[in-house]
Amino acid sequence: MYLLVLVLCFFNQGFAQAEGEDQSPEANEKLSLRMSFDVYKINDDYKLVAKARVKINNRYQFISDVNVDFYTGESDAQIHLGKGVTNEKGEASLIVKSNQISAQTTPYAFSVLAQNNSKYDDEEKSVMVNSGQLKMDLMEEDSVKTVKLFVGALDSTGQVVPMEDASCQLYVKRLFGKLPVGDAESTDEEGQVTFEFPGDIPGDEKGNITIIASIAENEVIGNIETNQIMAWGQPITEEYFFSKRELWSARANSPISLIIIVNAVLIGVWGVIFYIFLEINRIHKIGKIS
Amino acid sequence: MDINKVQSNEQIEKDLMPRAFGPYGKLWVVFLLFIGGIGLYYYVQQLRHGLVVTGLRDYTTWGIYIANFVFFVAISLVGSLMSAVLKLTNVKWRTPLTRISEMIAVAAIMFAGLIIIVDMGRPDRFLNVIFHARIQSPITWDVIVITTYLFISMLLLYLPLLPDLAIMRDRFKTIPKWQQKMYAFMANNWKGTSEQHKILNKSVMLLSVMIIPVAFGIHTVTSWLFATTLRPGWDSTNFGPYFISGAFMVGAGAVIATMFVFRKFYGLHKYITLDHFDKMGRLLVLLSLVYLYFNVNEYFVPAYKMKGSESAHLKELFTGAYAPLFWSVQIGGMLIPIIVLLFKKGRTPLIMFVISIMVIVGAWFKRFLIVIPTLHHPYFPMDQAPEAWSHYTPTFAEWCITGGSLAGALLIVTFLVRYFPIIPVEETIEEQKGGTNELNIERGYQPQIEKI
Repeated sequence: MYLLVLVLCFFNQGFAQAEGEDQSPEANEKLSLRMSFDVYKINDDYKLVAKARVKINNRYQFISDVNVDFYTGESDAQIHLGKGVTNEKGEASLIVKSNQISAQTTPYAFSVLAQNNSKYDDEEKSVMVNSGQLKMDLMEEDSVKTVKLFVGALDSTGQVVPMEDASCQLYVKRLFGKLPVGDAESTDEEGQVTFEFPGDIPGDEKGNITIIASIAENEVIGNIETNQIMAWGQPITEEYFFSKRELWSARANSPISLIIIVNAVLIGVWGVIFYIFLEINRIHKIGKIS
Repeated sequence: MDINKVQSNEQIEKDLMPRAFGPYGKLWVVFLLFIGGIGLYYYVQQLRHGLVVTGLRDYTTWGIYIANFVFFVAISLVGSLMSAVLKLTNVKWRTPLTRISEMIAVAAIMFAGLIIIVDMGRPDRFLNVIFHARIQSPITWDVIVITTYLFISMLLLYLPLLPDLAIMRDRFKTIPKWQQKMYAFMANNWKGTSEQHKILNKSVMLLSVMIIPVAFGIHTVTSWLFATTLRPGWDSTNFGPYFISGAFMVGAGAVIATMFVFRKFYGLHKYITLDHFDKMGRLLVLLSLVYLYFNVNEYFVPAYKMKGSESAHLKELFTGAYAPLFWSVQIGGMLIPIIVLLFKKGRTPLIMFVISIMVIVGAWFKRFLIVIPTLHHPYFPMDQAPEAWSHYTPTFAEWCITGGSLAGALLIVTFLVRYFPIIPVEETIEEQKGGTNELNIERGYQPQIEKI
């Protein structure tokens, strides 16, 4: 009876969990795919990012393993730029070099097409991007580190026209993303904005940090970003604990005290075991003689 | 039959010497081979396809294999309890139970080692654990101490067997040649001289002393696999004694279950008496009470504080998804055995057998509750991971492999009993030389009389 109760308790818990798992679509039914598509200009290149999601149990979930194709140009003369497959975050991306779209004229047309996926319907998204310009100058005057940005947009003749009121944000690159530096500032009528850069941001061992200037979702030039590496950070000398003899070190750097203790115990115990084997041999010899 | 009645040496030898399997024995072996075979089949599947055939994923990386490993290590401690602790405290009634205990210990510790290899995604890299061992890692200590404990347990099984092996070598003339050769080889020229006895007694005494710290070491180190991490439910200074007390408890339960079965099917009523059950029942109550004390410490103190990280884990055990299992294990596997065994009527063979099975099964699921729920509460949030990874349900393959390992351990005990005396023959003869059982002379009370 007790066993039955235990087994029931165990499987009740197991099945309760298993119920929540079954969210997969039926095998033959294709799900309607939702795509979002963003284009980022990073220095002179373009990064195309497509995100795929589907509605399961009334909730949108990002979907992996969706095949997508990236194109540029109008629908009647599209050029295939490359392929991608969405990851577990539902994201597929492609870096497009400026020479790949040199034949195009601004505004550039980019599109992403998800097709021939066995579980999902085909889906297409397009984006028009006006080519913008974001220039970053880094200068140090009287020990004050200054970042000067210029923002411009290309007009129909290909000339750069300064953009007023474009919101710019500075970042520094960190291990897991971008760290904002100060608040966003807007450009003046000459398309310029100046930031004072703090001097206490940790850099690498030489003080190098990657400074990023970014404009996000601007109505005219969209997403645009530029970056430079500069020795404006505080040099950080990392202490390599792993090279010392510590508990958390690699095996080559085990603490001497631990090596001695473990080996002393091992020799002590296995010494006795070895002695017992000798005694067993003695029993054998005595038996032979008698 | 009156156990005060002195048995002749021939009668004792006849009663206690191993014998061929009867129909039930054969059926039992076939059953175990079948379960073991299924486990082996699924292990081959796991070798071919990897751990993806299990329910183990990025968060729940330890499942029922590790729970089973802890269970095997726990049950193996009974060898040290019966052979060493009771020997050194001069408890005479342990004689018929020592070999059963050592057989259980050897079988359990062998499968503890094997189940760890089963849990490895790349078993072909097992030797790396030895060749590239970090001496700072509790896993390395565990490998060392398990190997050491296996050797000592095998020696403690083998050495007291020497006189019995010599008897079998000299008496069994009609058995197959290979069996005769095996007994002759294993008897190691035992002639029973006083010098041989002296060496034997000294060696057994030395091992009995040594096995206690090694036994404490094996289960303390196993507990440190958990306790040296900061995880809720594992981050406890209580874990070493908590594991050891639980191990002695389930070990005693395993001995009771085994002695009941062999007593019944081998007709050992003269040697494993009601008095032995009574004594083992009292011992089990004592061990259960110690374990209860550590349980109170393990759950009450963190529950009183309900720290953020511990609270989710404890609530899942007390009132959440694992609550039915948790309370069944605590009540059925610990409290009820204590209450029943406190009463003399509860310490009769059949009731004790049922209670011991409850203890053993409760102990297995207790290890499940120690290992798995903690893994559902990592300090890093489970972001951007598939929903299925946030819980763990063992797959059919895992159950079969785990079942196979349990069947394998039982098969080892079964075959050991088939070829070696389950109760020390020579020791029993020596104890009866005075005309009565040493136990009864020492304790000075009338033994119970049982009809068979």
